[in-house]
Amino acid sequence: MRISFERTGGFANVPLRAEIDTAQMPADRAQDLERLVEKAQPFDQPAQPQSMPVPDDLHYELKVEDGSRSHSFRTSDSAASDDLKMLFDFLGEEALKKLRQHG
Amino acid sequence: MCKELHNRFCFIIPPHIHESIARNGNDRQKEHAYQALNVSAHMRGQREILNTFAVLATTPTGVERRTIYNAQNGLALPGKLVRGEGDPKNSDTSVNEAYDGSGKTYDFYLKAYARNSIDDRGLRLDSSVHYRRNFNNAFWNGQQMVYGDGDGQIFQRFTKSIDVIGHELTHGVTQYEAGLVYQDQPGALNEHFSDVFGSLVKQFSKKQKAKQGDWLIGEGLFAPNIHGTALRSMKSPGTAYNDPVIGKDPQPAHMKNFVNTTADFGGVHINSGIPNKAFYELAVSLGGFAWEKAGKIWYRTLIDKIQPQTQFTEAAAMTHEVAGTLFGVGSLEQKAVRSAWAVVGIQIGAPLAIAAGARR
Repeated sequence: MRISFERTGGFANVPLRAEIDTAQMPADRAQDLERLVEKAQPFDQPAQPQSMPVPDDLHYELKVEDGSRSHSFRTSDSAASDDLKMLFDFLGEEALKKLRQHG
Repeated sequence: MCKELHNRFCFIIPPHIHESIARNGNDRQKEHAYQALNVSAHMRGQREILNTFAVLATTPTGVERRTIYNAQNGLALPGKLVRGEGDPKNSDTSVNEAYDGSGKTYDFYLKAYARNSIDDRGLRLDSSVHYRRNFNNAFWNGQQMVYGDGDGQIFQRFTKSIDVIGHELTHGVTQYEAGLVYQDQPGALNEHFSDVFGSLVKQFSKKQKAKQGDWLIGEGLFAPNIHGTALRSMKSPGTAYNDPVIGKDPQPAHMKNFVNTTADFGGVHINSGIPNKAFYELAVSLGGFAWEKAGKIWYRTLIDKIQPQTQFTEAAAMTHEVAGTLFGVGSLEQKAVRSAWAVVGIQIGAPLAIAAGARR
């Protein structure tokens, strides 16, 4: 599975962007990610958030690809379910790791 | 309308139930019902209906009420109650910082502008600390302040900086008074007012004059290894940080560098640099304590003039008009407002024509 992840906004608005590929992750992390995806159902997310953001909300833009499936969506932290928030936090950690390796 | 509020209480309970609770509930229920009514009524543009209920839920001016919760690194809000008004210091630094910071912000609004809390009716100030794990954000969720601990690699805890607390509480004031939509230019103005009053809370608490203030937002929030002094600089937008890992402060200081983007809800934390710089220029040119003249003009503009969809040029014209009302048409102060906006590339036109276009 491949996920293109972008997080902007929030009080700090320090952008985090990364291409995350489970094939290139340690097996345990890849499994954790698969489990979070299973719960958060990113392929079923509407393309745009269904509510207005709150002040200093985080803004997310994702593209998820798995086999023949592909889905892009934008949302905010306040519009996301708890499961989706947990997926975002995991992806944020991965993105930060990459940033520190290549930055 | 409720749908737009991302306010769970509002989603679930129709207004007439809130009205009943506002009349008959206990103090806490009354307050919540009043809050929900106020938010939803404001969004519907029916503020007059509030007058009936306001009296039922008003806390006398100068009676401060703060409540701090611990979200215990989870997602549920507000979390566990850990410190109420008048309770002794806690062993948890974040709890004490949220308590003291909301106290300083309350004090600032009361003494500088005779404002009785966020809603000017003594609303209790609720804050939750330790939200999620390594969470790099602080926000106002429509009802309360929420603070993350930071991940320790980029950010430290978000309660650390007093201007962050003033910034978040001001989002509450803006919600009640102006309802600026959190997108594009109105969103950048929403951010701008929070930076202005966040910065003024800090200067007020330190008794600093405009020239002595650092005009920084989020000073000291970065982890020690990040190259930067703060997140934003009102004095010099675009210069607050420059780091190999997180990049460079993206704020413009002039309209010619306005950033068009879909990220950050249309660059609300980016383009706010433009009005931020204008405010700084005004405050420094007028001298003295920034909250007395420049801050007063901005405060009255936010309370009396700003609309949900106000754009930069309209906001500039409104500040010019307000300066004329407060200090006299053609006064030094009003002229200084015009010059300050000109520095960032915003020319204020004929006051009447612009003002008419800016109103509904």
